[in-house]
Amino acid sequence: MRLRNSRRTRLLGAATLLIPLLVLAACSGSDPQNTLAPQGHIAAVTSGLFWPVFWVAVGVFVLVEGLLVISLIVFRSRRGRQLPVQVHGNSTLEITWTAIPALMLLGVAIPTVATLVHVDTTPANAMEINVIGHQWWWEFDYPQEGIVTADELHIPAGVPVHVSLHSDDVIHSFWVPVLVGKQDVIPNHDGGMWFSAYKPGTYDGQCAQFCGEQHALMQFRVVAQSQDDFNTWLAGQQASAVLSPSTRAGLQGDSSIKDPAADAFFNNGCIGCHTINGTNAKGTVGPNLTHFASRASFEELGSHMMENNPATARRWITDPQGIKPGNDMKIGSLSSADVQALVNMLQGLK
Amino acid sequence: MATIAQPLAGGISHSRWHPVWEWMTTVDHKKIAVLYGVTALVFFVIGGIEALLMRIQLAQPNATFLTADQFNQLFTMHGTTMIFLVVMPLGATFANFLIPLMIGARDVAFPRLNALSYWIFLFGGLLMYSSFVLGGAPNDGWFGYANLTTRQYSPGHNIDYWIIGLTILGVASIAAGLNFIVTILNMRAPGMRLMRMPVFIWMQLITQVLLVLAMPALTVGSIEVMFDRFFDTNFFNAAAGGQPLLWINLFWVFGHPEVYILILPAMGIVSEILPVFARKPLFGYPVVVFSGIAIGGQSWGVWVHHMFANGLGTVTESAFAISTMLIAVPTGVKIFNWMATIWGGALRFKVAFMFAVSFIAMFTIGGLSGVTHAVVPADLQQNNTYYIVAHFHYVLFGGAILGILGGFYYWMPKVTGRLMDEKLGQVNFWLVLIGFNVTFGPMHIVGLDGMPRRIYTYPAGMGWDLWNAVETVGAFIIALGVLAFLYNLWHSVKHGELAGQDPWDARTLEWSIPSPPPEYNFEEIPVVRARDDWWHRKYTEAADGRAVAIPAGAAVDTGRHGDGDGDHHGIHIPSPSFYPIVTALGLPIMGYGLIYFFPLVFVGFIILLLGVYGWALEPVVH
Repeated sequence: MRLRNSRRTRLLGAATLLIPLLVLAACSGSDPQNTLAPQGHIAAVTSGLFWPVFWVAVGVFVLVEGLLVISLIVFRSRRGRQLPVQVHGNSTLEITWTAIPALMLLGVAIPTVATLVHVDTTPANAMEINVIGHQWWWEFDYPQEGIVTADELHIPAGVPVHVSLHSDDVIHSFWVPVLVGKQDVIPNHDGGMWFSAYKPGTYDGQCAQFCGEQHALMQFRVVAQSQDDFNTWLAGQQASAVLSPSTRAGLQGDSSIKDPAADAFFNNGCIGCHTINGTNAKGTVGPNLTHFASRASFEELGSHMMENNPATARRWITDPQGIKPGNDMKIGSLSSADVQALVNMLQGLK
Repeated sequence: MATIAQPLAGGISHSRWHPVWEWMTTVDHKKIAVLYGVTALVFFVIGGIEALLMRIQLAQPNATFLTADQFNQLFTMHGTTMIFLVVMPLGATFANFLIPLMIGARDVAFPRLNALSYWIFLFGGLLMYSSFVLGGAPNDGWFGYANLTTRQYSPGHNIDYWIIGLTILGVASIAAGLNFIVTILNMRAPGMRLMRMPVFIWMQLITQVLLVLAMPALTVGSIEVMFDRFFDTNFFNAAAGGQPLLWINLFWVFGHPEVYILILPAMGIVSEILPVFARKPLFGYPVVVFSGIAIGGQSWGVWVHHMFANGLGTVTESAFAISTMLIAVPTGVKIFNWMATIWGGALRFKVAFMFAVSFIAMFTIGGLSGVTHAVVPADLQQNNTYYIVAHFHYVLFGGAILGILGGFYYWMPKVTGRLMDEKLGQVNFWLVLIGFNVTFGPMHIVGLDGMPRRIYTYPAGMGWDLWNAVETVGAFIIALGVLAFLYNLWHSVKHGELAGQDPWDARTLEWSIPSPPPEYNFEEIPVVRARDDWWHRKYTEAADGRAVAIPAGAAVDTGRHGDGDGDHHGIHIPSPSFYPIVTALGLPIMGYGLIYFFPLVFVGFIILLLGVYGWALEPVVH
């Protein structure tokens, strides 16, 4: 018994010290969704609030578990020992260990509320973007700039951005861990929050509220750019769709034109779900494709966003159900000619 | 009110009855406890297998061991099973066996209603599990957020089974809650004032009050989902103006008191075990009782902390952040009182005691991570990640399950008359404790590292791979520990060392009667003169406060010896009845009718009515 207890004590003691060290060591600063390696203001303010609370919790942990372990060693029953004093209670102790935790919690509550007010107060100059969650992709609309995109949320770096959060179907959650805590998008209950990225870069986001079969494959990216680069991107998005004249005419309904891409787009039902600005394609079930080729990534493969290139575009069009079973793109199988024509058109839509 | 419920024909030895019929018609709280316990342990193994399957899938990035839908069914059923079919029924197991014994009663207030609760639980669980072979199990999570659960977005029968199953299970809980409240308030032995009741009884009383008041919120929400799915109402149909947020509110108004329903019985168990193995009374009994009452009351004022990411506004979120931090105070007070019980004791490291101590250690960790959730901006990062999964497993597994396992080691000798094996218990304990920490400790890390919950797979390169592999190893260690427990339990029933009446030198009334207890519990209803009355019949306090044994023969010896051979000295106990099982059967028939063939609903309802009618008119004397 004696040996077992002291080994157990050492085990528990080691664990007590190791665990907080493990936490520190475990999260590599380069992990793409590390909430404790903030790359934007709100995430930084949040982790700045979390760390002191965490260390206080570690302190309480060491104290409580330490006292527990000590009592287990010191008071283990020994042969011939009398029965212990039948202590029933102690009012002073009760008051002390009620008041001290209450005061400590007050000390946590005040900065909590203060930070919450800051997080909830959108700066006046924040850029406005609408975020709409769909099963299982993200739509980003810029109301003042008049553009509609998907999968990648471009923002200017170093500038506050306010996202208005909506859902098109069920509850999802908009989350970019290194930039800002999450908020759910709830049908008939619009929300919103603000955040900013410190510097240009690409930051991973992911839906964080179970929303159906492919919840795990509902990623997105925030692409923060310098103001100049952002303006360039914006101009590109506001420009009209880059289409060959025959494809454009075909998509505008000119039946005298025989364009393979336009025909493929019609005949396979793409036009029912997707929009290409300036054509008859005005579907809103799926992402707006007007500037599809300007996106560095789209959809998910290997549960990570897929790099956008002819091969992946081909793969997606050929078998969307194989990559993301259950998603809304139920198109049957296309002829390889159709696939090629569509891929060519998509890769041109810069 | 008489201390014996419904005096009916008594004195019949049932040993000549067919055992299956005996168990199907029993109204004896001790047998009903065994039924609950065995059923709950079977569901525990099933829920554990569901977890192991998920952990195999998650051990590596981009694994294809399970499809998305299979994984989604598994995490839904794992949560639903562990909460509604394991921890709650295990609470009912201990409540059933112990409440009458600890308060000096012969049975609960309504023995047939007690049986009804068990059968409804069994049938509700079976109905829910039949979904696996009838089109697919529920797959929208154990808290099934609307409007994902509407027929539009969940077209199969999966959610039908979930919503009907939950509603049926709710009936069982509410009936049992009312039964136990009346029992505790009205059937205590003479002299057992409220402040002389064992803490376990207090915790159960608070739990049952929470159950009765909280389940209706879930029932209301469930019926609304049911009506949306079956009768085209629009409670949660967003296109028609429905409000998914309403489901979230109703669910968590139930859901938060629910987590206290899950933990309070285990806190009661720990409060009984610690004093016995420290050989001194519970430190601060009145404070522990009032803390339990405070937790019960405050549990109604914190539910929005499950909704911090739902965009409810600064004022609401601040108010509930503060109320959530405040509920940590009575919880901490209890932990300190338990530690003060241990301090200064003469500790005997039996397995039951080790589980009770580990409850304190693990629950403290879960409580501390809980406090970090109350820091709202931080919670917006933690919410819906593995950090939350870590938190609730530390309090539910590290808390409720470890406490319950300790309760098995402590009270099985009373149930069966035989001790569980201590050496195997040590193996059980260490495997479970180590496996548990290896599984759920790293979840804090991957959660803060941005891994959301309820995802069937994840990409490589996120920094999550190693910890997920470690967690899977831990899960299998837990499985070994659980196997050791189950084998110990099963083997000890027939082959354990004989326990005798009071193997632990304990404090409460159940140890004053034989092991196992006779059907009528107490030969004479005891007169209670103090808290821990049984202890005070064995010991008195010397001048320096130490306990001193009362010389043998000097103790007043009430109710210590029953013959147990059927000679009941004229004690009347309730007769068995088949009406509870018949009545219970009506409910799943109504459920299947609603899903597949509406006329069956009427058939089920008629069976229910016939059962109740027969029950009401059942002759007093058989």
